[in-house]
Amino acid sequence: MRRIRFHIVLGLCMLALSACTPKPEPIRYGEERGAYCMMNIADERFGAELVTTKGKVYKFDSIECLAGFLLEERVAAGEVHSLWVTDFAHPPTLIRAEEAHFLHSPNVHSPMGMNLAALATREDLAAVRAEVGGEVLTWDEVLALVRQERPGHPAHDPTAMP
Amino acid sequence: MKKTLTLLVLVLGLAASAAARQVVVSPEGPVRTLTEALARAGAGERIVVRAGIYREPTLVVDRPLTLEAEGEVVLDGQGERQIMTVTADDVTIRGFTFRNVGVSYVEDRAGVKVDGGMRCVIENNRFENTFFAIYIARSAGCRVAGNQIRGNYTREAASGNGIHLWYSRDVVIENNRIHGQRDGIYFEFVEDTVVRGNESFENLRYGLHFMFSDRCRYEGNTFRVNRAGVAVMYSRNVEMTGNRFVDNWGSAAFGLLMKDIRDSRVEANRFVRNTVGLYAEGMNRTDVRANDFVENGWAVKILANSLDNRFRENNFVGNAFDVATNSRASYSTFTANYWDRYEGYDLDRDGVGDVPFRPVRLFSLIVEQNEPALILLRSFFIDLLDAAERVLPVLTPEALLDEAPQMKPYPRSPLVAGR
Repeated sequence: MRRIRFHIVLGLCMLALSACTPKPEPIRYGEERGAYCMMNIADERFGAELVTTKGKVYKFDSIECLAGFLLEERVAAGEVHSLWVTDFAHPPTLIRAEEAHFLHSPNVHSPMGMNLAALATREDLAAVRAEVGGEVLTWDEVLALVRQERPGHPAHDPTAMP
Repeated sequence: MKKTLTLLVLVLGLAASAAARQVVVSPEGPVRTLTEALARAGAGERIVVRAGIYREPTLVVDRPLTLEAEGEVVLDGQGERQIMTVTADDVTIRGFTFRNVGVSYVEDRAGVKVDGGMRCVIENNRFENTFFAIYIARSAGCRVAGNQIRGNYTREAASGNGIHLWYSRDVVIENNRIHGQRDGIYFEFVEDTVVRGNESFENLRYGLHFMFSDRCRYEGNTFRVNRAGVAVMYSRNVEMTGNRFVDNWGSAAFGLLMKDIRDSRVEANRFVRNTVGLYAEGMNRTDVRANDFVENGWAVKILANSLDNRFRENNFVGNAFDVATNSRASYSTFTANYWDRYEGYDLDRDGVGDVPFRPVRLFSLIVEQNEPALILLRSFFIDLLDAAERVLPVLTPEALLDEAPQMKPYPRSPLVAGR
């Protein structure tokens, strides 16, 4: 009897713990709206998330929107628990932004026009880059790029116009 | 007389030579594949394709040609490759069925992709399960008309857009019927383009979506059951007239979503049964005139970062909330609209109410702060609250009022009226 009670208490404790552990959650594509630029999140290759220390999850339709949101400090720096981006080669798997490899390529059309994709491994990065080209960035370089040109106001390439 | 005769002969001769320069593809004929026909055909010729199912590697059209289907011609991508790539100017594609393009995470594959071709015509084709259906990049002067596009986003979370334009201008998109794609019609860096008479519905994201696209016009289209009927973002000088935004219903759903846009015009449209009819964030210097807002949750939601907009001569009928905003300040004007909720009087009988109307209900502010409060929508207490606020406004935006509310709704032309 006592043993059963112990298990119940243990179970409840774990439930309580898990409820407070900040972690990312799956994005409901096509149903949820990005917290930064209002777009409906529809392209599963580019979804991103910010998780706060209190476990609140902000979802974004693109890497550039996550970066923009972070740079504008819509959530205080101390309250950011973790940042997540989608593995372009294996969507909708989320990976840590700081550990991801980023590709900035004119042939990757991300939702807010900044042409950014994230990849989990060097092998995938090399494979995708071989197909679409572009330069490799770290997360810090992505932040620097977004600081320069805000999402929604990307540098326009006049030579591309017919 | 002699002159006319010469001309006639000349014309006939031309017609005959044009008719002669034609390649026929048919499953039983001498030319059995489009690949072969494309290799054979000279610039300016016509390729006629007879009924049948054709499974071939991606077809590349690199010369000015007219491709025409005779009967039911299916071009099947077998769930893998892009079906047709056009790189030449003056290419016409008419009457085909494009089917089964595979989803790719790296490439934007399409039924037809035009890259750098001027004056293309894509007319009266069908697209079924083609990821992106029609993709036009770096092109100008094209016409996309009368196509039937059916995606199946329900099965594939990764779905492309129906008609996708990228870095293009002077395109006409008319009388197409599009559903089941990510966006029905998508514009990125597009200029001077017209979208007319299309029906775009049941798409995963938006019926029509503008990103960074200036001086475009859309008129007489119907957008229903999308996440947002139309989203206009980061664009200038957009003309929107005579469209219907219907049944864009659900959480985070809108009839028309405007974000960071300016100097535009929203006129003579009908917004019926949308969660939010018109949502405006960072919308500036825009005229919203002579529209009907009927049975929406919120007819208009306008955030305080929207400046110098003019709402005139609109009808507001049967909406749960007419106007909602997020601040006591308001930098847009509302004049001479009809509000069915107006309870004022017209003693001088000039058709204009004698006391101003405040379209923002106190309750809408409460809901803005605390969404679950919506459950009280029809309660007596809320009516009381709204009545008190009408008499003595302390929380609702002071400047947001209509000084000349109409006593009767504006009659509309039959073109705009109806469901």
